[in-house]
Amino acid sequence: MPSDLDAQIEQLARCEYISEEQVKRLCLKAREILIEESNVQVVDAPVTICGDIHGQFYDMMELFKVGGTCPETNYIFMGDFVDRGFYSVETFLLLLALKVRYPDRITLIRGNHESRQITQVYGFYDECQRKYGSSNVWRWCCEVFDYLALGAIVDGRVFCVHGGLSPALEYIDTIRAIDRKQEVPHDGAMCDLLWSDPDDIMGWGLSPRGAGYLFGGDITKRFVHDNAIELIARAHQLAMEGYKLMFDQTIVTVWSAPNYCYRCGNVASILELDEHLGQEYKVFQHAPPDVRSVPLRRPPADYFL
Amino acid sequence: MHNMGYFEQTMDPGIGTDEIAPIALLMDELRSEDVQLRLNAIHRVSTIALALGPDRAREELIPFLQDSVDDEDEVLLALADELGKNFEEYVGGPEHAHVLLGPLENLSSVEETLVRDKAAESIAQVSIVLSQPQIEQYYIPLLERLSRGEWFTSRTSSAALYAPVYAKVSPTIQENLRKSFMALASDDTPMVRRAAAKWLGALIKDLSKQHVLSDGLTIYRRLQSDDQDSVRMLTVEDLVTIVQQLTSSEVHELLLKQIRQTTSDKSWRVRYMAATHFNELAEAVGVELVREELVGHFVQLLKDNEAEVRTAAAGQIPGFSKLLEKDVIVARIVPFVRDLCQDSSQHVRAALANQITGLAPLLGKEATIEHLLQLFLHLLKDEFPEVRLNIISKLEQVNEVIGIQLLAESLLPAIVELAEDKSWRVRQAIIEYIPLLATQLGRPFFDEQLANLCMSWLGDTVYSIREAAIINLKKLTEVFGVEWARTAIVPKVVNMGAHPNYLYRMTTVQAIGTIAPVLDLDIVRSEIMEALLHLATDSIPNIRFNVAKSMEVLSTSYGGTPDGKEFIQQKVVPVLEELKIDQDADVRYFATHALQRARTTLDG
Amino acid sequence: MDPPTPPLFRDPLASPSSKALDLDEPVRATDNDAALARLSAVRKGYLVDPFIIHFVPRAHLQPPRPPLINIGTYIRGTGLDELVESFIGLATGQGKKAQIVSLGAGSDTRFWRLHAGTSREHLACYIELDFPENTTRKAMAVRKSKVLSAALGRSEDIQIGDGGTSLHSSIYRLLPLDLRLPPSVSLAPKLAPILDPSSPLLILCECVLAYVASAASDAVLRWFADFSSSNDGVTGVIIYEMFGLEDSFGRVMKNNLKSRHVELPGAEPYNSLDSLRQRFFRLGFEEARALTLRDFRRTHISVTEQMRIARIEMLDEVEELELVLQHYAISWGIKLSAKQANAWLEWGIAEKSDEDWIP
Repeated sequence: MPSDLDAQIEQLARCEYISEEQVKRLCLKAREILIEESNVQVVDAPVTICGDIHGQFYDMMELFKVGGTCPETNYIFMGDFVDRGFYSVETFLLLLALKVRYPDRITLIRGNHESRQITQVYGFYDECQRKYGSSNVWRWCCEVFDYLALGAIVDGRVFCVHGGLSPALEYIDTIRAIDRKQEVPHDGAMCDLLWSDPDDIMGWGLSPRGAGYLFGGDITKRFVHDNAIELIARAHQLAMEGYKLMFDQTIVTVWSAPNYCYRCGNVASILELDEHLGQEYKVFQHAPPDVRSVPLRRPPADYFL
Repeated sequence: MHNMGYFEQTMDPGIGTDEIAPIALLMDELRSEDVQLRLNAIHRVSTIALALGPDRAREELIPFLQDSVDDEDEVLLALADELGKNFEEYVGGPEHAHVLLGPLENLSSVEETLVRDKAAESIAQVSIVLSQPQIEQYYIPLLERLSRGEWFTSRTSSAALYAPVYAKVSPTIQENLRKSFMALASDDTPMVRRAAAKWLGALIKDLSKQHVLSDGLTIYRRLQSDDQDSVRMLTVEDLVTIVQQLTSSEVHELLLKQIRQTTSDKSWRVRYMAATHFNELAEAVGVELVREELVGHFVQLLKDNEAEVRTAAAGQIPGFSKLLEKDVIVARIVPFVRDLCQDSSQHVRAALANQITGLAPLLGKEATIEHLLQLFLHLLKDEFPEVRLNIISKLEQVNEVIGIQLLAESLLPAIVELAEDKSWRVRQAIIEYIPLLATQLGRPFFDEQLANLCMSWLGDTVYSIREAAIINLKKLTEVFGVEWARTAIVPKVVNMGAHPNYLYRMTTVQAIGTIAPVLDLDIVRSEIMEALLHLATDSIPNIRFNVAKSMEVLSTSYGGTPDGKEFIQQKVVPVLEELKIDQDADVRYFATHALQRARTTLDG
Repeated sequence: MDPPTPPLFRDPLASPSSKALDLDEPVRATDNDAALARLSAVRKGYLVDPFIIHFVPRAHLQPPRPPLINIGTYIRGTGLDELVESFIGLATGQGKKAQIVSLGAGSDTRFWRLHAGTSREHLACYIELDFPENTTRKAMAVRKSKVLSAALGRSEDIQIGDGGTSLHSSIYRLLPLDLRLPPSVSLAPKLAPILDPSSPLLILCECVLAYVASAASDAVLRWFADFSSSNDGVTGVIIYEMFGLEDSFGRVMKNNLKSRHVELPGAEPYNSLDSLRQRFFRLGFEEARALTLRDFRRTHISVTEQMRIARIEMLDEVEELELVLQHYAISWGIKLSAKQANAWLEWGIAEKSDEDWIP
């Protein structure tokens, strides 16, 4: 298995997608591994924490150039691997192949885009159709999505989640009680973890996204205190400078898709936690244009012309 | 027969080709919702024709394609393409090839430019196999219809179709063709005039010298003085073609004004085209006119108001300079090169940085030192990373002319500065340049000026730079030898293995794995092994499994000699045995793998 | 099983390699983007427009655009519709018929929408100007569609001219024109004979001036303003385009468009909303306003409508939507002559009162 898998990893790392049959086997194997993980996966430092990727494959390669390759560097990816970019298939399958090959070196957390409903609107479904001529690959990937962890905790001190907090969850331990193996619901604790955003308000607020909540500094600090942690690391929101610390550095947004959608002009970052949980943010830019980052079949420009 | 394979796979061999009604099949597939299926159907159209046989292909398939295909542009494009790929083979050979013109005529009038262009290309392909009577009976009437179409779409397509048949028809028809092309060049719409400008060159190549001088020049002058710059810009290539047909004195007499107008056109887009094709023009006009006329025009383009024009002209500098004497380059070109180094546009400077080193071989050592060296230095310090990268990547060319010693001495301060550049890709470019510098500069100079720099990269914040720094150390060892490495590299690498931050310790392990093969057993045993053994018990599993990987390298590198075998047996194998039962799965995996390799080596 | 062959190369039409006959082709192609976006927004139910389908070849085969583009297209379309209707309303209030000239009209359907609605009898004429390729394409579409040509009157009253690049009917005209040329040789000979200087004149510039150097677009606007005001008329101008491109989003936009060979020289001078207003004042207009699409979305769309829109497609990223929308603005200005009523100064779009609703 490792040598087959190593060959697939090499192929995917060249941004060439693997055969439908290989995807099927990879997804089955991934489910076997993920089913054993808990809702909040326990991870040891040192580890490097990454935010949204959104199918920007060549930019993810840039991330690995700056942060190091897997398994040499340990990684937590906080979801939103797919949709929006041109290479969701290659991006997600590479991460998944790494997960299967090195389960202890890489942790994948579910984002709000790892969902059947959202991927049908934002590109992953269409990309699978286009690249494989059927929806099988999309279906198998969605089944894997249902098994992804909802969060991770590094050395008991840094809580990682895609979106944010939920009024239904005061303690990290209560997350462990959720039955996560399902499509992302439209409301409730699991939905909130994947959809919520911190905001400069007090208490809880209605989210403009139509799912999850806005939560204020008071909520964040209470959560950090009550759970005896030092930091909440989350992704989910575009941060033009790559990351954004809020509420006396109790929460950080890490964003890892540089020049998001090949349009936003932002830089990206990763958060390196060393073995003593020292934090270092590494900011990086999008892949240079000579690396083929835009496919030949160029979609219409996403501007209003 | 390129599609036979597919055909055989998809058709049930039990059913005869007569019974499957390929046309119905094709029609069904062309009605599919899925573009890919429709495209596939089009790509199989020759297979279907083959199944039908030539008679039915002519009588059923071609009329169907002519009348009932209305699809997405990419499907139409595919059809236009297929019909141009020797499709006459499927309709009964060259004597029936003209039936293909029907569907292609339709395709050459559609809205989408690329479909029209492809259809015209296929019509030209078909014309190759047509006899003169076929051309005069079928092709020429088609050309007339297209040339007089109501919409510009068919008229633009027609412009491409004159050249392919001009040489094959009677002088009377030739005369009509020249007149008809002239009408296109005077069309009401700029689109058709642009098409005429685009295809004039091809037609001119087939005209007799007499007709080049009469009709060819008339049409060219008409287009070259068009009120639309989008038409004029397309006449630059026509100009090159015409000049290629004429003697220097004819050019002198007939075209100097046009050359001047084109290179100084009021529209920058025309000047841009002139700059882009400048060297072709220069080569065509001959040395004398280059010196008398073109140097002046070229200089104008180098100092054009528009950055795009200067960028294009900068790209032509070495190519154009090849046509000049050395002193002319120095006197007329170099001053403007100097100005371009200070250009306000980064794109111009980047283009220049890409080309400027090409002047060094033309100027030779002394003139390069005198005139260019300071410009290189200036570009190396440019604020825009692409400019710096471009010049760094071309320095080898300069090195060949002036020698590395001189290059290094004058450029070293800039290189040292770039070694700490904000952009990690610039740092990487410098690292990759270091082994070459080292080879040429020699050890004392290197130790004094660059050694510390090379070690400092090992602690870079970017993984790729640390990786490149390690590979650099390996290459330097190959240059300066093992004894040098023992004192200059090894102690520093080993020391990093005790750093409190695991990233440094990781670098030590990886450096050992990379450099070990080019060291010797003695150094490995006495200077390195202890550190590695220590790191085998590191608290971070990533360090431990990289120790296993490095141990594997030691086994394969040193297992060939009795001494080495003993070392591996005594030092390497026990550690790997420990790591094989590590609590971490990856450590166990890599240790097991390394152990297998070590055993194989020992047995070998 | 072998992996399927990579289909990335399936669409050679999108390949930039084909040698373009001229450098304007990419700018003209922006009309195609606009038409596809509008078709998508219509299909999804953001907008109602029964005519756009006739301008998109093989419309039933076109895939939908992303939600962000649909929403932006909706906002842009709604804002412009309101301004146009408001202008026609003001003209009607003074007992006049409005004349509309649309620059770079492309496949815009506004004439047919107005004609199908109540504004029909308040329109004196509707003239569309564009590159000759685009006018030919539109003329072909009109000729092909019974629905479109029916609005222009009897078929014998519809004339095609200029080598297939112009179309003339009693109320609607389609004329080929290069806006970069001086108005004295481009606009004046074509429009002066057909426009009535004393009737209110509305100029629409939807994503067109940004592609033209500002000296040229200033000259165009000035020509229209002078044309009416020297004859006791009134000229209204609506400009919709991108602005504020000096930040990183804007730089990426310029680079992305540049890779499609589209340049935005006309957007360079405009880095703030106020600079868009100042353009009008500089050209002698009496009143001018400007609004970003972001602000239009926040304050000029009613709660009920916002809720309707929110329900059509799930929006995943609000930051991104706002980032994009704040780089587009609608600005409008009015140029009066001495005899014109001040009522014209009120021309604008109403803020919707229930603005504290979060989408």
